[in-house]
Amino acid sequence: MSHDTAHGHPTEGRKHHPHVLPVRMYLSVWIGLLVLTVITVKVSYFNFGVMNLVVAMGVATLKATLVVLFFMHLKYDEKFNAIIFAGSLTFLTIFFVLTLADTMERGKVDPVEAHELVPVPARPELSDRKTVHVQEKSPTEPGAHGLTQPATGESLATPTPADSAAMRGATAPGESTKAPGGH
Amino acid sequence: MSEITAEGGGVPEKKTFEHQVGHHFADAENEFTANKFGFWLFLATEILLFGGLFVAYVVFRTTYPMTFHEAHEHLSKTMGAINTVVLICSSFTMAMAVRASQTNQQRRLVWLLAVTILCAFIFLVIKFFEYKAKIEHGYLPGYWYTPHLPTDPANGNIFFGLYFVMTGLHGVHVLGGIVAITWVLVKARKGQFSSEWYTPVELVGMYWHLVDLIWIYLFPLFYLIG
Repeated sequence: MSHDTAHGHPTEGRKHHPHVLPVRMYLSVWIGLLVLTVITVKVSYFNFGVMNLVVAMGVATLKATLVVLFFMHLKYDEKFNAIIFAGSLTFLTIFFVLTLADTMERGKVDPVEAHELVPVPARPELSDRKTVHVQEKSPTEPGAHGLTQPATGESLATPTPADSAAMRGATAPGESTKAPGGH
Repeated sequence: MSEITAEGGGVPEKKTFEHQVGHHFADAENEFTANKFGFWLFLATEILLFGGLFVAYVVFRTTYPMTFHEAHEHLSKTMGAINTVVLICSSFTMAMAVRASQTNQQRRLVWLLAVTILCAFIFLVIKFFEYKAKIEHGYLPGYWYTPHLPTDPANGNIFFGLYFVMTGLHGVHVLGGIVAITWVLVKARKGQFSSEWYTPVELVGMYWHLVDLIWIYLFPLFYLIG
């Protein structure tokens, strides 16, 4: 039963004995995951407002827990591996909390910075939609909050009061969409 | 090595392979736990890799809730749900494959791995048709975002940028999973695994479950509550 390594020292000692779990357990987890999938899809057709997110994430987390504990055997694994897994989730939480503490709380201290990130200018040629246009600013211009806007005026832009004024009225066509290919 | 108790009618006569415990390990149990420990570290980095994208998703979603709501209705719930079921089934067959290797059921191990690979391909084929439809609508992210219908979502490049990057990175992981499971399948056909040594099956299985885990979150975030 024992075997020697290439280096010739004997490896008497603990052999690995797998912790075999019953098929019934795997079947239950599998069916549980399928049932939860059906539930989360059915529930998505109803509107619970803010609770939509809570329900969907709750079901997803329940499914993830089943997968980690039983399919990945973490329940029966070394406790240290559970600590590693929990550690990654802990740092992910820190990532979430610190980032959102910035992006969701902007302007609460200094009203001057109370501008939300504005929507990307919609395509002006679609007249059936209310379009906004963010005037481009040179990075050196005061009031740009140190953010350089992308050249096309797309994605994140921190508007100045002048921008807000422009947004209220203007639907200036032009540089907002510079995508290739015709529309 | 112990003789194979061919519960599933295995291929014991072909089994000439004997795993040697690395000389830097005290014994087989030590080697197994060390391998698993290392793999959990790798999985932690994977969680953080996707975690960054999930943070980006939340930041943009809280900033542009209407855009997300409007754009997510352009994804097919049905296709997303089918893909979820496919991945869950493949996770189940993978878990059963690990169990088959633990109990020396060689033949069962091989076909369970084959079914897992098949499910992975089904997932990618469905994803291909989803991507194809989105690309035809001009929903590719960033510079290539060229929608051409009035019903197309306004500012959809934000949503579809995240959609393509996050499901794309996940899709790359599925591809990697196919390669890894195929590698395990080849070794399994050679009868290299037994209840004493099945580490590659176990680790690739853990990787595959993580891929399933990521999708469990991607599916509701993009298809159900965008």
